[in-house]
Amino acid sequence: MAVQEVRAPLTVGVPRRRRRLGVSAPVGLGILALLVVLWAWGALAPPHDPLATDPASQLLPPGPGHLMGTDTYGRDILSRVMAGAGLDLAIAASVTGVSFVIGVLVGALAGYHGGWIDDVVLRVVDVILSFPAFVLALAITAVLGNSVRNVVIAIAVAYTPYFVRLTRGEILSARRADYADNARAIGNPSWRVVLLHLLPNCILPALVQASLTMGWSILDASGLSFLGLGIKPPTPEWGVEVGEGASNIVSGEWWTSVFPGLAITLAVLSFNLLGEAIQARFRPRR
Amino acid sequence: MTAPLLEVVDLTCEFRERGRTVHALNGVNLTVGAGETVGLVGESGCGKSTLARSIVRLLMPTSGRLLFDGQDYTRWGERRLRRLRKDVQIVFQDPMTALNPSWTVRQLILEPLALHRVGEPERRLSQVLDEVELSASILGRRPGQLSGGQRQRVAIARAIAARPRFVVLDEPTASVDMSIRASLLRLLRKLQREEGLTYLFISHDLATVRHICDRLLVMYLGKVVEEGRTESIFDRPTHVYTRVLLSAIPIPDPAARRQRLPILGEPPSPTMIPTGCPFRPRCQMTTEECERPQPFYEVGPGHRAACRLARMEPLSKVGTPA
Amino acid sequence: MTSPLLVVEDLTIAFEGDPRPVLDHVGLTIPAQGWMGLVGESGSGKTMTALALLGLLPPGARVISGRALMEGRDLLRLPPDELRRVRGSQIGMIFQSPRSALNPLMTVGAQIARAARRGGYERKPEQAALDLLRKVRMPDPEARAHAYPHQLSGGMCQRVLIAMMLAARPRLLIADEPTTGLDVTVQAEILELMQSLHRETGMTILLVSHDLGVIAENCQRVAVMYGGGVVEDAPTGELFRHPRHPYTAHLMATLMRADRPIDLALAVPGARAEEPPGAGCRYAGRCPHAEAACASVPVRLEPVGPDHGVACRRHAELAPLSLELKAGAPGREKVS
Repeated sequence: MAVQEVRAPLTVGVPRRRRRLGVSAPVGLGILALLVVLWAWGALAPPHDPLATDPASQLLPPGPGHLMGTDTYGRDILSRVMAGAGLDLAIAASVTGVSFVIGVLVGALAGYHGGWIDDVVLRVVDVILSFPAFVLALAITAVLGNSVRNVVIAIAVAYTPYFVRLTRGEILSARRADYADNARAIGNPSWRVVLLHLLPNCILPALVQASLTMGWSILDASGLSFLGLGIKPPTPEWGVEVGEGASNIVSGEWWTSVFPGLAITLAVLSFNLLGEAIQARFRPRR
Repeated sequence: MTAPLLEVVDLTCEFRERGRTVHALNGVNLTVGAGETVGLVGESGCGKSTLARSIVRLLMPTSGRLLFDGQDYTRWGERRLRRLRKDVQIVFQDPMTALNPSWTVRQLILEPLALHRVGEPERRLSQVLDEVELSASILGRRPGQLSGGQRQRVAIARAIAARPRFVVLDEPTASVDMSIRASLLRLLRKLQREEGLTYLFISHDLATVRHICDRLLVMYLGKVVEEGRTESIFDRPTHVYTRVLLSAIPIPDPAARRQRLPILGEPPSPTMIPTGCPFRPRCQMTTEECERPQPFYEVGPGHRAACRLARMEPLSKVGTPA
Repeated sequence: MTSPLLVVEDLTIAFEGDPRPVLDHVGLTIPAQGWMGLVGESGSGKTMTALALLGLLPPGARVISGRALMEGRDLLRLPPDELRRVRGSQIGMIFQSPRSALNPLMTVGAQIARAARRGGYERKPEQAALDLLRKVRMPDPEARAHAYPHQLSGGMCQRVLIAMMLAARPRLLIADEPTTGLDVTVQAEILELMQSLHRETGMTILLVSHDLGVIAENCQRVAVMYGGGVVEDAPTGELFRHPRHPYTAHLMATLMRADRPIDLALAVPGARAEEPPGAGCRYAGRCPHAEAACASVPVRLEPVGPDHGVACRRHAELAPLSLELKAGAPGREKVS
């Protein structure tokens, strides 16, 4: 006959307060949703062709017909910002995806196995991290050449070490836990212990980092384009647009740079907020 | 006598920690026959946990041999050990840390069934739940949502699911409330009968051990100092350390009087093992003879102690209420 | 019985936002120069009671009602600096895991010296530290005084804490599981140390523990807690021989003693036991003698003898409770 027992009530310790979800999550999600809507709208039915030039409509201020105004070549800025959303978000997702997967796996391997693998990985990570991420991305892009693919590779290389270090640290402490021993004793081969038992408990910092990386990679990609590397005009990318419009600020046509710049800011902000929200929501309970 | 199920031969386990060598096990010998419950008792530093982990090959001993069913598995690699792990399992002391906090009870019990390819896993799952007296309603919960007693039963269910033959129990009742301890022990005994299990029961609590073990081994600083049938050890504790240990247990009876045997000095460190009898520096009865390695002396049928006091007759009863 | 040193009345504590109180009308009487035991399992509230007396409640816990009177003053309502003074000089404390209660960056000698300075010791603090180390029977005190906590064993750390506590010469010592986690031989030594200190200084001790053996050997009175309330309160001998509460009787019956084995086959788990949501006895879910009314009618401690209290509405009809495990239907203990 199956019997249940009393669940021990709380003794000393922090009470289980209702988790107060701060503003981070809704605001972050809201902004991200807005950006996705912009991209979708631009993909399906943009007000104007982002690449279509129109000398007659140069540098028009924001108004009906051109909600964000036009740039030096008469192109509608709103449509370009929408197109940029698609490109920048895609870059962010690619960079984050690649560096997350590679970084977490390498970090888990190094942390669990230890020994020479760990030494090699740590040295490589140290070397990469000794360069500021942007400078490194810059150098790699210069070597590889200017294209979206190379920009993604360059930035991913710069950010993978963060995931490696974070995951390695978590795995190092988790592998000594009793449940790791238990998993081995039950008969799990090492790869299952790491992937199925340890990683789920160690992935949180990497998830937060992933969210932050989404934002940072947009900053890096647009920074590169602003400098004239990586993605070049007339490709609609926010950094390209900021760069093209930079000289116009002085002459008073602020909308050419400010709107794409605002888009970058909002995107980074939303990913930062989401990172915070993930951290708060999934803080380990004990 | 039938061949023993588990044999530990001259097992030594050393490892380096912070620049010093820890001698966790120093030549331990032990045999367990099928169906037996053998107890390992000792205090911190005696090596019982190291021995438990060596037996299930969570670590590799420095020297000596481990045999299961006659097969020497001391140096087996992970692939061959996989087969052994179907037969030899372990239950850890604290189920809160020994069970993966993000897995559900269902996943935890099904995993060994999948790993060892047990047929009809769903059927076995409900059978095992029944046997450990847990209701199916907890299957969806995670360890953090269970009571201490429930958690330990889940840990036990996980260990016996794939039908092992030998289970090492490392202080299974230590983290469980007192009022549940007795029923948990009763459950372990019932499981032993129903599943045909052999137990190695590790504990520092002599009261618990008395209720479940057929034979006992008393350990100190990585060596076995006394072993024998449980009743014999409680009746005629011979090695000075055994006597000291028994005399130190508080008796939950206000009318009882016990005479505690004094023990010199402080608990030892396994980085420095004395020559001869490991208990020598703390023993009040030590002599020059104790500096040499001590042989085992017969105290009674199946009962022996590595202490010169075994040669003295008669032995007095120690640690019993007035 | 000597006059009480500390009287706890009707202490109720709850966490903010949690309707179920963690301590429910707890009452205790600690006799002066006596040694009192507080027994219970995890979740019984015994640690919370000790912390309340020390003014060390965790964040979010609020005192809903009750008083803790020591020499006319209510400890629960003292202003913070008064409370700190009382905690230092009138009430001492030692806890489980002694090493984590010590500052890892200071030598133990320095820590004891600091406590001695605060306690107003006449001699130089360094000398006082050595004196105190000797008093707690620390082997090789001169050498140990220069050691850091991580270099000492658990038993030694506990001695250090006792020394620090003694520096203030408190009237009351609250010891929360002081020997849990220590080896049994070390535990025996620490308890003997406490016994001799109790004899020599007349210090009152409140020992909180789940170990009935430790309680039986040292305490003159025992209070048993379950689910946030005191269920029974009696002199030790009385409690062990003639318990009046079913929970106490269950504890005694399932006690595994090293000197007298019990028949495990009879130790079946208690009946279906989710905690009853009502205002009644919290043990009702597990109690083999529970009736329907038990879960809804509130219970308080009632006297059944000159110094024996029980919180059970059926105590009169159930007496005497059996201390033996008897065979019967699973989940029911027979009433003798």
